[in-house]
Amino acid sequence: MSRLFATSLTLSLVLCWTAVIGAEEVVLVAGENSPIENLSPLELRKAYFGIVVRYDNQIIRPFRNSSDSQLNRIFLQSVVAMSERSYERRLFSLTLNSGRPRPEEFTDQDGLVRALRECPYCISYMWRSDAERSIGIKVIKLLWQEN
Amino acid sequence: MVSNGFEYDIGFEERGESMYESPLVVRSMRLLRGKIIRRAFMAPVPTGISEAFVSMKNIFAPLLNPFDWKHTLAGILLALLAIPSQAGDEAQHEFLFFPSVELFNNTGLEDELFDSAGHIVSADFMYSYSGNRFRFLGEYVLSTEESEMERLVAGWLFGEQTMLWVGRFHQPSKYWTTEHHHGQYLQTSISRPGIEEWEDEGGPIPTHITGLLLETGHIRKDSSGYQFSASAGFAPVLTESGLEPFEPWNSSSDHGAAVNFRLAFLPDYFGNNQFGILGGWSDIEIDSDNFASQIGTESVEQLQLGVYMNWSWEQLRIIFKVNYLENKHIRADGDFTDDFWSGYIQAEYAIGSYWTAYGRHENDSGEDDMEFLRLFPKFVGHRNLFGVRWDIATSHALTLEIADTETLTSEFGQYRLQWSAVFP
Repeated sequence: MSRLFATSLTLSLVLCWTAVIGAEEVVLVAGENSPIENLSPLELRKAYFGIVVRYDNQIIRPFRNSSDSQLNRIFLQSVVAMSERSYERRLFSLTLNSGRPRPEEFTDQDGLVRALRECPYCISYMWRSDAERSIGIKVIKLLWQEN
Repeated sequence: MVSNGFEYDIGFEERGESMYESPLVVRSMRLLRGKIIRRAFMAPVPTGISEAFVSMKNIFAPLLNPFDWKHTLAGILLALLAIPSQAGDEAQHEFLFFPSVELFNNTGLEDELFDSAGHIVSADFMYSYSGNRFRFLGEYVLSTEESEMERLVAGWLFGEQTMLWVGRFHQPSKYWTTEHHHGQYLQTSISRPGIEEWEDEGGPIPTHITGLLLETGHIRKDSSGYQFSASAGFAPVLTESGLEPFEPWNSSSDHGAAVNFRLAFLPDYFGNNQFGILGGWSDIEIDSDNFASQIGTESVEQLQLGVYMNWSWEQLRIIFKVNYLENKHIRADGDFTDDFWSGYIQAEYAIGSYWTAYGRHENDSGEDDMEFLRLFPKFVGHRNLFGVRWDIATSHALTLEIADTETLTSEFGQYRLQWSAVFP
């Protein structure tokens, strides 16, 4: 009986773990007072390459979330569609060429959340679970979901 | 007379000779016929600590002059730094620093136009300020070879992607230049192609223009797009040491006019892949200290047209450009025109994440018959090179380059080793 219980418990834990992993999502976020309702993939890509994107005639400022290497890989793959090296070199080149500002980078998620709360036209990305835990942050849209 | 490295003869009248009979002038005229070169007196490379100190002191001397224009520039930058408090959160600042150290050795030199060995220490500083519509950009190079404000522009943003700049900039028809500027780390090779070379390094096409620059682009829904750049302004003049850009802060600086453009198609607007057409027209005034002036050339009207491509397939990248140049020499005894082709192709192959092997072939057509190119004795018309770049750490690279180089008067080997980086 105890063996059956242990087996059932193990199976339940595996299923729960699979369900949690399966629900991993990366979302686009902004401060809760941000008027930004939606951005198209093209607008998002433009913003992360330093091209001016306006919302309510205000320039949108993108923040990079480098607090998690897996999150960074998903950002590079699904938002800018480039390898890290290519993206970095492209940003250096665009900035040197025309002075375009590069996205500000945060390695500390708490600092990122604080910056988003203070800037209504700033955007970033994070795990949905982190976004839901953070106070003063709203989810704008889903960027990536694990299959 | 020796002036700025070149020898001139001003005693022909005292000797009862006409200018065209003076031995030195005759020798220089023979240069224009492709027979002989001018004798150059190159500055020796510092060999000791004291000489290196003097060299560094000379580099920093312009910065220490309290009446220099650079202090005015510093004032402008400080004023811009104060703007964010008035403009709110939208103002952003960018600062990039590109240091590089290069060791070089030239073997088999047949003249003294190039140093046989030495080093170049260089630092390129870029600062930009971006407000809601206003943008400012400055690029300054400080090296063992020069100390110069390369770009200084203020711009206004119309719409999302149309910038109108005013100031001094790198003109858009020199693709290599506008892709890398002085950011040595960003270009895979150590050297740049001869046709893309800076004015003070023997480049025959004007680079630094003072005037207006328009940059615009359009992104299609599939992320492809085009970019168009056009400029109009003051062109460099041809002095005894080559093309010299117009300097608005120097009252004796002269200029002609120049217009340039580039139109590019990008299959992915955000990527590097692109191809396009480019061209320009420059009225290059001849300074009285240039020999061409002494034989009656007043100016050269240069027309250039070209096509270029920068394309990557997996690990392979090809950079290619072909230029056609036509130079109309305006002379009192009758104008004449010469023309030539110049092109290069560079292939790069990435090996893993940290190594890149590359090679470049440069060539041009018939410079032996081109009177215009004889005014640029340092111009590299032919070159074959091979190099390896090692990205040793994030934003640091070591590059080794070996080249077989040919100028109008000399054929020699070049060996270069360079460390380059970018911060922050």
